Amino acid sequence: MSLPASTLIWLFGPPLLLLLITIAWSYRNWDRSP
Amino acid sequence: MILAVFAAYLLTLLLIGVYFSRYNRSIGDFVLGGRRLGPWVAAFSAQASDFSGWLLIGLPAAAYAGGFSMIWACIGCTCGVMFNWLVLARRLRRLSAEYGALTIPDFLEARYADRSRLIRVFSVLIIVVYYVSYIAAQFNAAGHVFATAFSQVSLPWGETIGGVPLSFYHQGMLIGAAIILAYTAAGGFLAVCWTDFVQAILMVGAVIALPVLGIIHLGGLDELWSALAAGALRENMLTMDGGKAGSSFLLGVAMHGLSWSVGYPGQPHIVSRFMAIEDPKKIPKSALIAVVWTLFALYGSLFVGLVAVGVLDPDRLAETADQAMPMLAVTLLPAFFAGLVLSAAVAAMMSTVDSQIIVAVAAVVRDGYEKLLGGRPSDRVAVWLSRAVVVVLGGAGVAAAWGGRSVYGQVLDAWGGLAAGLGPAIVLGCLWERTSRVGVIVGMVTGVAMVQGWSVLLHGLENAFGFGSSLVQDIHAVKLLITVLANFACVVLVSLLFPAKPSDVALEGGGLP
Repeated sequence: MSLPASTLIWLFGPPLLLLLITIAWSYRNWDRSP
Repeated sequence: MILAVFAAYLLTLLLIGVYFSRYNRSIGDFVLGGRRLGPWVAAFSAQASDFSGWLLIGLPAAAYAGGFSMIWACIGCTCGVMFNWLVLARRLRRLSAEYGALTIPDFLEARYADRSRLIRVFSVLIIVVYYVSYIAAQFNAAGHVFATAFSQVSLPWGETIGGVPLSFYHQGMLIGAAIILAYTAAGGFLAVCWTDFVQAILMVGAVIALPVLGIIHLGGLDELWSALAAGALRENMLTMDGGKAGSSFLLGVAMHGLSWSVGYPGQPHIVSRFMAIEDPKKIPKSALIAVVWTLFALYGSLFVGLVAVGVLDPDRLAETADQAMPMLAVTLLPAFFAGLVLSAAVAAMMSTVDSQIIVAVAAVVRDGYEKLLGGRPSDRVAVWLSRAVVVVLGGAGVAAAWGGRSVYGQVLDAWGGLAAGLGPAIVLGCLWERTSRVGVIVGMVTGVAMVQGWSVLLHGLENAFGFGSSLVQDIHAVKLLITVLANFACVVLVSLLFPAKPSDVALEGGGLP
């Protein structure tokens, strides 16, 4: 069987979102003094 | 073969300890590595310290029994890791270097210009009391993880050594403790970080390899979903709510998982790693590495449990889901790699307890002996004193864990006590300039009082209604969240009522720049 799209979104959506936030933050602050 | 790999792994840890022993010339080296951590080691070692044996044994077992509903705990933990790295790390690194702070009590005393020493006294008490029970709980876990991980391997010497009966639980605890204490005492903070670095690679490798091989073994993802949907163990494996609805879903499943996140900033064994980073400009790089590692580790571990449902014979796992990961490793992997994966389970625990020991040692030697009692040991004496305290604290942990009674409740209390007692002081100290000394002192006392209060209340309720009652379970699910948020509110409120004076200029700690 294959999973319904809504389940897949719940399964993989949150980690992807958290990863995107981290990438965006790291990109903005890369090699910058705090 | 499996045992040879495990022995080689333990030997590697010892060699790392011996190698770094030469770098310990002062207390600053021993408890903070002289602020010499590069971005990769900082990121990997912080995350390995963060995740204990729960990652390799507990989470797969929970996913094996509960399916997709365990995703909430994964999201909660990732949010906590992100808060620490994205919000806290750079500020804590900058301020701790400004104050010359080596430890969290150092940092707090300097940040709040506390000449009364009360903040240092309270924070040292919180750290020592909770970490001693935390360390005992980890040694208890060490015994269980060893016994569980190697339950699938017949150990040639059995449960008797030299005519003395010694269970696998006790053997595991003694082996684990001896190795941890040896490399921690020899190499100090740097040995802890570098062993954690190796352990982090082992841990994430194990939880990525096992599900991938398991899915190949099953014949593809669709076969995995079919196996989960077949409901061999229980229903609702493929739903996010674990088959619960309304408040029991919100409290018992979602909030329970997400509430782990609020505990993160209060854990000195995690956040002190930020103070040791060599170049603060590299923190964004570390943050990215740490979050990617965490996502792979948590979701990999979740899938270890899910794959186990499809691959393993449910009858063989009827007694305990804790066996899911070790059994999967032995079923899917050749002996060499099974040895590595089983070592990873022990690594997950060791990498947490070594960091906790270092934090407790720092609190005893640096904060207690040097700062509160006014001891002025030479650099050499301070390092040897720290080594002795490593052995004493480790020995106390082993003694406390010897009975083998489960100490899961103590772990929750320690996590909660540190989260509520130290979390607001650390977070607000970094983020809100108006946080005052009085606010923080009141917050430390009320935080610990609330955590202990919940313990007493829940003990009473469990006696009255039983552990399984929905009231008790709901309180368990939300108590950490309520306690930490209430304590943040308390510190803010008291800080507004008793504001910091303009004369409260931060103190210098006199440690490392």
